[in-house]
Amino acid sequence: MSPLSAALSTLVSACAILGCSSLLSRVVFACVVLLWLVRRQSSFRPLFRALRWFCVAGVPLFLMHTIANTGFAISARVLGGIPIRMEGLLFGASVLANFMIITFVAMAWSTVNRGNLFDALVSLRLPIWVTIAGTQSVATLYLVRRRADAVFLAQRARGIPVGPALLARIRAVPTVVLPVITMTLVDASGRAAALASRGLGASRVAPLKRLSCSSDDVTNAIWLVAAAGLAALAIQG
Amino acid sequence: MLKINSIERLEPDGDWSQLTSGITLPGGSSLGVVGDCDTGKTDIGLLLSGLRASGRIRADIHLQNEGRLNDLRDLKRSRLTAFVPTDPYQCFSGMKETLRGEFHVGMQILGDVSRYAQEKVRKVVHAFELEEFLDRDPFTLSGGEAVRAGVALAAWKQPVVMVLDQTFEALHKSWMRRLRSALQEYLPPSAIIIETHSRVPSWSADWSHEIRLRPIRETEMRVQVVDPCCTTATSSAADYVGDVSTVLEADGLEFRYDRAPFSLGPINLVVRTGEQWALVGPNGAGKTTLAKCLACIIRPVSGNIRVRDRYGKFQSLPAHGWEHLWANRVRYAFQNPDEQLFRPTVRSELGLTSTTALSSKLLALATRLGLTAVLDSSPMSLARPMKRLVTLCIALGSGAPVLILDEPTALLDSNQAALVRAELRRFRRDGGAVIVITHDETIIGRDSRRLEMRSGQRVG
Repeated sequence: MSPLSAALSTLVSACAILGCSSLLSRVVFACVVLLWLVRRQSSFRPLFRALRWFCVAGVPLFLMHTIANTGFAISARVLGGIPIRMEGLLFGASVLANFMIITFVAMAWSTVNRGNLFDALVSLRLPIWVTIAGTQSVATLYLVRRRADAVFLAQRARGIPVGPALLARIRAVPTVVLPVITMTLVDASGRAAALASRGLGASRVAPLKRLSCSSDDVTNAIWLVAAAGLAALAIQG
Repeated sequence: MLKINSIERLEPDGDWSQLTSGITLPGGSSLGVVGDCDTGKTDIGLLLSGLRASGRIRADIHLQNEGRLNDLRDLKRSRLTAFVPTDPYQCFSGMKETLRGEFHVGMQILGDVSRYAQEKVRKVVHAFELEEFLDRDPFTLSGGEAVRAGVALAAWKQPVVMVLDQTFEALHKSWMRRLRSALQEYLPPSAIIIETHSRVPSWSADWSHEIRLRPIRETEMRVQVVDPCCTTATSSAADYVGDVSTVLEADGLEFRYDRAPFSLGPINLVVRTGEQWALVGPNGAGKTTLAKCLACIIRPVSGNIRVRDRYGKFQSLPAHGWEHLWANRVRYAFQNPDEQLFRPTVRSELGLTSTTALSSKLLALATRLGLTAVLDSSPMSLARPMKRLVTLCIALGSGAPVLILDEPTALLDSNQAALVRAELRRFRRDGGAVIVITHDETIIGRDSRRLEMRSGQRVG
């Protein structure tokens, strides 16, 4: 996805989260965005990955409000006494819809090519520190992911059990996280020197390409506006 | 012309000691800075390229017609000087997805996207033979390829001063000299090339100037080793252990990466007790890929690997999810020690928390490697060569019959390298087998068997 489309999806999603007062409108918006993403993806793999992350992190939130949040009154009891709180259920669904929208935005940004993002920020002629902060943040995320993979393999090669049981995986988290954090910090000073030597931050970056709007961006914009429009209709309905 | 008026180092007792003074480097000259581990080579390299260093080294350096090097404006400094760090992957900004993009970023951040700049990039790519890597993600390049790419990214702007901080260690010997001659060919004749090394390289006679750094302190833990590696006659595995038997067998090993046009094998290999195998070959030949397959870090797409366990039975690769169990049989020490250290102290990293016989054996090993003084230090706070010794100590003391070591002596000074060689010989005498990936001829010695690789195939 182009940085322009990702930025537009962020803007429209932020408006949906802040502006859609009813649960129905958020659900409508999320469903249309889901349809758009399904249409865009040539492979369903990233979509399944996003949905898996959404289920792992979002569903417990939903259950917590429906069953355990004492701020809502108990409406019924099921399976020998498990409380069900209807208001909590609606609130949980609303939180879940927001979470879904945020997941979609994260997914949209994860498909943006780093080089295109760099070119887009440079062609916007933003202050140099904004360009560097933006592009280096994305580059660092990529490096941390690569480093985490390398550390995982290195610890396994050292004989540290990193699976297959869930408990082993959980116990192995510090053995991966600590070296990744340390390496990132140690690497940062060396990387800063090397990039400063190449001239990063010394002056405004000269653009190679101009930011342009492609037909794909127009299609994406139409889908997002349609999603927002349907959500607005749902509010009125 | 670069004039080094003085370089001083902060010693542990709080005094500044002068390391050198009054050196004048005329255009076209070269300077070698040689020093043991933790003597301040990198800081000196940073200061010589006009960058900020840690507070323990200070220097007064002047560039002709420009004034004091550290007072130059950032843009001017980055046009006139270049610094290549020890880890070549640090040269890549990560802001573009290909090496070609990295060159574009280099031009853009210096504000020069003219045809002339593009022509310079084309020339440097040709000089360093990088054409085939231009459309690859630079972070997926092999160690030696990354060095060439990193040096080219620093050199394309044709700086007046070029500093290479221990850059040559991961290079195949054929490329060590080629890299220097490629630099001399590409850089203007007036450019000054500065190299830092932990050991004196074979081309040191070519340097016009040299700075030898004295150790920061002569510790009582410094163990001097008489290294018989290069003096003994050829020996066989039987000289190390009486009973020579197969300990590792690889049969028809093949591997392919998903996204890189590289395939390994088929490779057949039989390693016997007491043997040392050296995986040698040019950069990108597939040495690390083969070693990772043997250590079950990546799974071969076809072929078998079998290892004899301590009860004499052959074991095949474990099931998916249980790969860590392979480390009891084949232990791999990564080239980057940071990836394998995570505990609060070196003592806990080595498992020296109990008073068992195993602990005393490990303690003796740590002592022989000169690690006693740092046992209660955090491994994260150590200099890289010391971290390397810690990971080698962990591997040597693991009890695995086969060790795979990726560039075990890279970045180590000559004494540390001799200690490692002596420990590897001791390990083989005790019935272990060693596979090393290295460009260091002193570790290969005369008694290693060579597995020569080229383009993923065994050629010797």
